[in-house]
This record gives sequence, C-alpha cells and structure tokens, in this order.
Amino acid sequence: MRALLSAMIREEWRLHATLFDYRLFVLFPVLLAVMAAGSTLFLPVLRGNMPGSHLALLGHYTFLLFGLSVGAFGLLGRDMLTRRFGQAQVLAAVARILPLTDRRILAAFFVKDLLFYMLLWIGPALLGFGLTAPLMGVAGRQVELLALTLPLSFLAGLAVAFALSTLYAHSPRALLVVLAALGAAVGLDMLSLNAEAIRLLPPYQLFRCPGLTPLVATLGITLVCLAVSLAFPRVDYAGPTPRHPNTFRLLARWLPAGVHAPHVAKDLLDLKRSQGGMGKIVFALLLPTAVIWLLFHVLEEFIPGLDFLVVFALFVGLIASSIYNWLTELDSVASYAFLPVSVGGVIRGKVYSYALLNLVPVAVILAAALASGRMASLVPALLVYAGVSSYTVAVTVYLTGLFPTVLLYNVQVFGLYTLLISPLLLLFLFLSALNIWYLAGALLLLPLAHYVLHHAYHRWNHWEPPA
Amino acid sequence: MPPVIQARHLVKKFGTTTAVDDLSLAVHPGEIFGLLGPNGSGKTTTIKMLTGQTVPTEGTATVAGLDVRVHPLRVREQVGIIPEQEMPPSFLTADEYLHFVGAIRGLSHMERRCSLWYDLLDFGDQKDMLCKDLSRGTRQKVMFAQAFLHEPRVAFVDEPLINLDPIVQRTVKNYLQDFVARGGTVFFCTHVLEIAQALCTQIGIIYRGRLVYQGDREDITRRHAHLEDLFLDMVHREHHASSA
Repeated sequence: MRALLSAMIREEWRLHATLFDYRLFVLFPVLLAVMAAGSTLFLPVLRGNMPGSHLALLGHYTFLLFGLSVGAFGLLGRDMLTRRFGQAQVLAAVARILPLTDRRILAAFFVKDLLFYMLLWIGPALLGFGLTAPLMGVAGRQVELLALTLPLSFLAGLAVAFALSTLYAHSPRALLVVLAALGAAVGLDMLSLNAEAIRLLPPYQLFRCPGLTPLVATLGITLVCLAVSLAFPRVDYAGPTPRHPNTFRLLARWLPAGVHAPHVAKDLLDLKRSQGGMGKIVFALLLPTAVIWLLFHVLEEFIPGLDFLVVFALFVGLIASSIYNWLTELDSVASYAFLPVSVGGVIRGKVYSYALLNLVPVAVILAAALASGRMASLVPALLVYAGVSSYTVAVTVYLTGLFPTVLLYNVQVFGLYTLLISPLLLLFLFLSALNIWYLAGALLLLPLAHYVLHHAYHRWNHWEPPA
Repeated sequence: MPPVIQARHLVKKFGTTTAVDDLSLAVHPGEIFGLLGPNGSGKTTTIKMLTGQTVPTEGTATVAGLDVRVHPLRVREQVGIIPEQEMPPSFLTADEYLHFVGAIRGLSHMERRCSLWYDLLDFGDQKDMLCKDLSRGTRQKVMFAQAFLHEPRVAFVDEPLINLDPIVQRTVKNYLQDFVARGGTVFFCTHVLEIAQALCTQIGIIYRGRLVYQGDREDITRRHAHLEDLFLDMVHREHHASSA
C-alpha cells in the first residue's frame, strides 16, 4: 500500500511537471498562502459588518464546500482508473493487473488526493491566515482552533460527498431518498425561521464550544462516511455488457450546434455513460449551490444591501465553470490528434457543450427565485449569471485549454485566473449593492468572453503536446 | 511519378532530446513503405510530423502535395491514420464512433460505409457495444475502419496488426495490398520484420532518430536472405559507430 501510494504521488508530481515547469507547481502553495494572508487583511472591514461567529461559520462552510466539490470519488470508480489521465495511462490502471484489490487502489488514490489537497490548498491557506490573523486582532487561541476545525470541515465535506457519490454509484434512487430526507429536514428547520440546523455543523460546533462531544461528532461523521465509501466501492458494472442503439447519430442531427454538433453529442454521451452519469452534475453543481443557498439564508441579515438571489446567481456562475472541467476529464486530446480537427476545434465543441449544460444552473436559479419568492430579481440574476458564467469559462479555456484540473496548479495560471476573475466579482457585488439593475452591465462580459475565447482557440491551436 | 510523401531534412527536438535527426525520404504512389526501428527510435514521431500532428523543428515535408507545416488539417483530411497507442473513445459504441469520425470528415452514406467494414473485419455483431467493453483486437478493427472510412489515397499505419488474430491479419494484409494496387500509398511502421518483408515494397531503417538505410525489397532480398539480418546488421553497426 505504501509503495503504491508513494508511486501515485510521484506520478501526480510528474503529471504536472510534464505539462509545465515544476517550479511553477512548487510555487502554487506559496501564492495561495500569500493570497490568504492578503485576504485576511480585510478581516477588520468584514468584522465591522458581521459578528465574528458568523464569519467563522462562513469560513467553515467555505472549507466544507471545497471538500464537497472535490469529494465525489465514489462516482469515478473504474472510469477514474482508466480515464482520469487519458489513455497514456498509468499506475491507477496498471495497478489493476497487480495483485491488488480495487478497494485498495481506490483507498491509495483517495489518500494521495487528500494529501495533495492538504499540502497544496488547505495547509497554505491556513498558514497565510494564521500568520496575518493575530495582527488583525484575532486571538491566538481562535487561530489555533481554526487551524484544527477548518481542515476538519474540509475533511467532513470530502467524506460526505464521497459517501453520497458511492451511494449514487450503487443506487441513484437511494441517493434521491437521502437527499430528499435531508432537504425536508433543512426545509422544516428554515420554515421555523431560526435556521438552526446550519449551525449544527460539527466542526463549527467544535470551534464554538471545544469539547469531546463535537470532536467525536466531527470525527465520527467523517470516519463513518469514509469507511462506508471505501468498504463498498462500485468499480465494475454489474450484469452483461450493455448494448446501445446509435444515439449519437440522432443527437448530432438535432442538436443546435452547427458544425460542432458531433462534438457536443459525443460530450453528452460521455457524460451520461461514464460512471456516475448525470450525477456528476449533481455533485459538481447542485450540492455546492444548495450549501451556498443555505449559507446565504443565514447570513442574509448581515448583508442587507445585497440582493440574496443576485449574489447567489453570481456564485453559481462561478461554480458552473466546473462543468467544463468534467467535460475535459472525460476526454483525451490524443484521441483527436489523427483526425482533421484542431485542438481549438475540440475546445470549441466543449464550449458549446458547456453552453448547453448551462440550462441546469439556469434552472437552479429559476427554482431559487420561485422558492424564495424573489421573481422581481430574476432578470438581473440571470443577466449576471450569463455574464459571469461565460466570462469565467472563457478565462478558464484561455489559461488551461483542455487541462483545467492540471494547469490550475501552475502558479502563473492560478495567479492570472484570480486576477482576471476576482476583481470582476467584487465589482458586481458592489454594483448589486447600489442597484441590482446595474448588473445589466454583466452583459458586457458576453462580448468580452467571445473575444477571450477567440484568442483561446488560436492559442491552443499552436500548443504542442509533450513528447 | 512525383512522390506522394516527401520529407527533406526533418528534425524534431523535444527540449535537449533529438527524436528525429535529418530524416529525408520519398514514397511514391503504389508503394508500401515500411519504417522499421527499435523502440524509441523515432518512428512514431516521424509519422506525427508527416501527418501534421507535431511541427518539425527543422526541415520540410509534403504529403499528397500539401506542406504539412502550412496545411496540417488538410493533410489529415486527405490521409488515413492508425496511431500506435490511441484507442477509440470509451463511451461511444463502435458504430457511434465511426459515425463521429464520419461527421468530422463530412462523409455521407455512413450506413453503407460502416457496413463494408463490419463485413470485411467481421465485427458487426459488436457494433452496439461501448468501445471500452470491446476486446483490444476489436478496438483495433474499429481504428482500422476509421482510418479508411473516407477512402483516402494515403494511409499512415503504426503497428496496425497488433492485437489482431491471424485470420484478420491476413484480411488486413490483403486489403493493404489491394489498396496500393489501386494506386494508394501506405506508410507502415512495425516491429514485426516478417510482416514488413512480406508486405513492404520499400524499407527504411531508423535508429536513434536517423534514417540509416533505405532500399527496396528486391535489393534487400538480393543482398540478405532475411530482412532481420539486414536490420540487426544496420542497428549493430550504428550502435558501435555511435559508441566509438
């Protein structure tokens, strides 16, 4: 197990070091620590508008959300082992011909990814915060506690998403039942108007009232979820080899994507037929947006100038770009190299697929507007969503091409991504506080996104795969 | 008759490594050119340069009259390629993948085209299975079919017989011989020297990126009983020359 784990870590390192200079990879956590330290400097401003306890709640949910968004390992199963790095494939797949169980391979892969996220994201973010927070008036004991409870929050999110995705891999219906039950419980709690359930997050409770009970609750939930997920991986399809009628032909004919229709049809079939199916959308988009929705509900009273639905749409626009990541994860650029299609052409097809799949987040915003009775804010919410979603994916495409999940760890790419996206988000937050109709200005992002995409296609057409 | 594939002083460098070094060759219509060489000698990189998949560091090449640097996509429109490692995408069926390739190439009458290949290579009963569920041999048949679906005049095939059973190997060899008899041209990379000797009309031997031998099959037969003797002789000679 140790040998497999260390080989997987080496492999992950080389995957990044092959695509770009390894020094830019090493500097990634440094940049993240600097950014976290810089953000902490604004803490006094935030504390002027919101109690410290709510800021802590926000912090814990941010880490939980991050864990939820990266924890859908249960969906990957065999596809992870055979597709994650394309067909120039590697240990996770090769290990299957060694005397190792799928469970052990999945466990090693999970631990490797956990270490990866801890070292590259969680650790540096906490370090940056920890170095600056005492200067901003945060008590040393609180910083120490947060250094424990925030990673636990991340771990809990990771474990819960892993467990839910494992459940989904076995039975989508069972997952629906569990989510419906959870939704009903949270809904009932929200109807009681005190929304206490959201404050019951065990790591947050551990921060608020350090003691054995919240610690046991935190570790208990995390360990049980992990144990169940690792004990029941769904690696192989059951039953006889399935056969499918030619759905591609119909989709390619009817999809309104012009010459890119074949690519979009292929993307949709990849998404549907790969393990986890359309459940990937649930885990990449719906689960995080549900948590954001709940969080905003609690914090609403402290942000009176901001329109709840519009801010929600803004964040959904940001998260929606993760759909593009899924689309690229299921494909390999090498499988097009021998066909008369350029890399830019492949990317363009994926952007069309992304545009089509944006109907899902639009439906989420519509549902949120209906549920919250804020139909008056729906149009500006949709406008800001359209602008932010298009612009974010355009920047992602320009900077990372078909490798968003790898190139994001290039410190230059990550720095540029943050610089190009964050100021705009802050600007729209500010504008929404003045007048939500100012957000119609988000429509200007559409031609900008078009311009960035045009250059992205050109840029990636000249990209050469490594030897 | 002018060559249909022509390379002049091609060089490909990856960082400090020279994968192909000053390679020149010419292949005429109706020929099967076999490029032989040990693992890592530059065969696949040569195919990638000639088909516009990677840009040469130096030198020029034309395929079907098109400069591969200037018109890489048009070259790939004109030719058929069977890559060494790539397999069809996992989540399409064999039939869907061939239709996908047909759609990208703008082909009509796809049912007829696909049927021809199902019959020739005998995999019609598996056409509705996802490519990831097919055996390696059947996936190789799918890759063979996609390369010839648009009836190209030039084909680049990298180890096309690997994973195929002897019956299908014979079918493929016959098809390639018919293909060149009808005026087609094949650029063939392989490790299997017996196949190269039986099939190729021209042979090139590449070692550490350099083309160290080029000649026709009759010349080889006249000078050496077996291609294997020539191959080992050339490789050993070059190895000693580079070690000295």
